[in-house]
Amino acid sequence: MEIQLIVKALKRSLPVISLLFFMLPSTLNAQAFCALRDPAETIQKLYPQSSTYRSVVRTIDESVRQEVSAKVPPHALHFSELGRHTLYMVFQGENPMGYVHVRSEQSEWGLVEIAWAIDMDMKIADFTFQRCRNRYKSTIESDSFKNQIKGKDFQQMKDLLVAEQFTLRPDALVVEPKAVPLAQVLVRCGIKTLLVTELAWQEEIVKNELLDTARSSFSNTVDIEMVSSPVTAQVLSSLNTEFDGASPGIDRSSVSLAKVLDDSGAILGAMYRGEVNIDRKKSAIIWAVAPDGEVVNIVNRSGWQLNATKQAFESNVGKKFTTGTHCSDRTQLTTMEAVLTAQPIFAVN
Amino acid sequence: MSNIKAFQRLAGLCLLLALSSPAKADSYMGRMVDSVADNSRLALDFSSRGSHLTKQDPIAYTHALGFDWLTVISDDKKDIGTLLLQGYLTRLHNTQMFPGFFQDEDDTEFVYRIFNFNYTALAGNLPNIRIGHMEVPYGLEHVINTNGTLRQYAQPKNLGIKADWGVSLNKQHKDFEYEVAATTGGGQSLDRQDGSYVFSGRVGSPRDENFSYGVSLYRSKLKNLQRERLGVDARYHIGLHGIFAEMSLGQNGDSEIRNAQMEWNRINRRENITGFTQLRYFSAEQVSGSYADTLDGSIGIRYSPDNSWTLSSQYTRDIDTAAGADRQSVFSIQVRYRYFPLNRK
Repeated sequence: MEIQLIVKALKRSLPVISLLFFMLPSTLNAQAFCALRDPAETIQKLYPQSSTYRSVVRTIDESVRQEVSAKVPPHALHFSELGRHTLYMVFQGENPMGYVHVRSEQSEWGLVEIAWAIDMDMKIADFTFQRCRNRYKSTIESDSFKNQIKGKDFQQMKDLLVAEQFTLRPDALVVEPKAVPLAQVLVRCGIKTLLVTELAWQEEIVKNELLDTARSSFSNTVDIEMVSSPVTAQVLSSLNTEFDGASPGIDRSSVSLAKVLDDSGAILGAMYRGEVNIDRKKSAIIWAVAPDGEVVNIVNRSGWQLNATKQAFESNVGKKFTTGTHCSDRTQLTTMEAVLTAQPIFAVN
Repeated sequence: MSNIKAFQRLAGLCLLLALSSPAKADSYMGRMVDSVADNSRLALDFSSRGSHLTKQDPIAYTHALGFDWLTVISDDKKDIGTLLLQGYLTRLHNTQMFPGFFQDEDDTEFVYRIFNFNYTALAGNLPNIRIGHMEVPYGLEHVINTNGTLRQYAQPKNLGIKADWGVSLNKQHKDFEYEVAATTGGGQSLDRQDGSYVFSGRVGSPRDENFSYGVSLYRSKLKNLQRERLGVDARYHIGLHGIFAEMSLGQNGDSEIRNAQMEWNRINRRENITGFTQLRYFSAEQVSGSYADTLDGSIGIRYSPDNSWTLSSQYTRDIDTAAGADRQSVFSIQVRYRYFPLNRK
């Protein structure tokens, strides 16, 4: 009798369970964690000019945890921080204008939940506490404190703390002494947020960077289409021929390439993004390339370290690069590599 | 109507809502379906609970095996809504105090907990629209989800129902949040039972503040008994401590009802251990005009060593009972395991 009842109940639930298994393919892991309860209000507060937002849920897994441990050893993710997390992509009309990500940080007063607004260049745009049991919350949410945090990127946030420690550098921020413990929690959370967001949502962030730069490089840009595995054997062969087997220094495993499309789907150009060690810093540089090999734009979205470097790169804008073009410096060599890697897009077209 | 029919109706309504969004391209539905899979968070949830009542042997067991699936449906540039489906095959064994949708103390049923779609795509200050099986918005229970846990508030005893099929309007604003619902009164069943209905709503300050409060209104007809309630609730957090309170006044038919509950709780820094103690007072006017008062208290603890396991225990005891009734006590232990398979990316 009991077995009959269980079988009957299983039969009743089978359609629902089957539907779930059918709709949810592949991969292991994790738990619903850290999202805005009703995102509309918080996103409007962080981005008053926004019109819509879209949730993108990704898994923060062991590989992300290990990368965080390697890059910021004292700020390792606890196992309870792994799981399924949400990044909100915020739009103004048709254009992405930034991101919102909520992270929890352990503190003396339980978990502090902070909603971070991150701009398109992966810098802190704003923040607000979703939950904080510390009485100095309003001090940390004041404009005078926020203005010290806004505009900072991962490295600048990291520089606020004593190296390899949890404590603020004495001269890093102006904050009343009693609010320092909460400020430290906030900075730690901000460092992890920027790093984790970049690691777990890299695909979306790179696509938005390229789309945003494409819109400022080619008029009539409607959308971009990412090219999978852009550094093909054919591209490698042509690069080896051009550079005699040497490399101008672009990390080829980091390369992203996209077609820029107009409203009819025609290709207006290509967006190439590659990471280059320049001025002692690894920077992601984006080249906008026209079908005839003319360089339309060169952008370093995290900002150039030196004005001379900026000018050297920008002097290549408006020039055509084709096989055999003489390159006199590293900025031209890297630009040549970007153009040659993009060329197969136009050949197909 | 069977639960499976209720599910079919809900699925149809969800699909209708999704299709009603503007600006569809050929691949629009495809992208939405993609978002359902991409944004999905699925847990397979197993729990087993043993409860021992004084003067009763053997131990009562409740076993539940089910799924907890949350996903956000989006198009290219906006979220359309949130789908939360929780369904559990629930087995009672020797459980003397069981909800009305079980046939007897040794029954097995497929139970819907939260099973709804919340449409969130209306612009500006317009409300979200929730449809499906939801918690009746009233008091502390609206703020603290106790589904599947030993820790409970007085909602079933006070209102006669905890979750129901229906529709609600809800929204969180900068200075307040609200949810108002009209539901069938069928509990697990989508259909109204003997003309049953439930109207309920709570307006409160933002729940994430360290001090928050709310006002609730409730009116229902369940099993031909009409209930009306006005309730106030408040929560205050000081560091790792929390103090919660709720008071209700109203009527069951012609009988005046007064009840109140208080809770003190404490968490640890990681918030994976919660200890709590509760007091519940219930007073009902008798035909004679006097009041039958009851008072009971609980003490409990919950420990989550990791994302999957939760161990909890609770002891509840009658402190004061209505005239002639025996004082009961219940000691419960629950083990819960959540497995997270099949989530992509």
